[in-house]
Amino acid sequence: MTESEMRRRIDTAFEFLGRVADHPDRFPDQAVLFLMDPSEIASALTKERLRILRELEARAYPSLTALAQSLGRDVSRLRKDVMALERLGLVAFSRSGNRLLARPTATGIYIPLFTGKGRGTRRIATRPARTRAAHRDGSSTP
Amino acid sequence: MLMYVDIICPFGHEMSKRKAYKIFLSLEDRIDADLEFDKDPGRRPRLARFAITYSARIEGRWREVVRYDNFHGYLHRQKFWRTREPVPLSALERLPTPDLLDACRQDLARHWPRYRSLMESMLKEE
Repeated sequence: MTESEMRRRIDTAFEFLGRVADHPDRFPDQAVLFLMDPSEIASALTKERLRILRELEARAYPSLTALAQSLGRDVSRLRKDVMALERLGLVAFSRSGNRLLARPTATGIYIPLFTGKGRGTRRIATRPARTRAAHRDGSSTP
Repeated sequence: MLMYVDIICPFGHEMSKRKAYKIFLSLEDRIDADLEFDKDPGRRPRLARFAITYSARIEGRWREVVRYDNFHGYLHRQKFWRTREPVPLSALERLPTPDLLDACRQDLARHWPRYRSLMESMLKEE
């Protein structure tokens, strides 16, 4: 990633915080945000990793081996995925004897319509405007 | 694209005084933001205090690199590659909170590569 792209992401992060400061009631109290390209997000949150999160949310597994068996996956590959989720703050670990227990820290994933390109970026529809009267009687404006 | 994961409270609840966000700028860079609001009856909540921490993943671990914080009644910066001691930013003291946040944004956006590099050097020396 270039330095200018990183600066843009820092600006976007602070823009988000500015929005929270302006309208705190519209934002959750705690959240994990990803200010990354769609491709980076897709590589971080793969289909298999999303399956893991869903499975961990549904049931408490006594070990990663049990989780791997339930998902029909190789344990070492699953472990790599769970570690990646832990780095992203989406999974937390605890130990029970020799066993590593994973639990999800998130209850859901949200993708707001916010691109970090500044406020008021929403475009006006290009369809020709119609007056209220025209709308009422069904005629179209020129 | 901005994607965020609600980890504690769903939307539509009554907001609390504190908000905390982990913002991943990349898989190796992260901003943690703690915000505290003053809630006076009949008035809109106002951002009163904040702590913004830039962390970098270095040698497989997340390391705090720099923090901007006014939770203790004065704005200060902590440069973690030097010391955990807070250094007051007295020149900015009288600015309103949104302007303080902007000053922190400017400092981080301008200096993050150097800050990160200094933290990497400090860890190599250890």
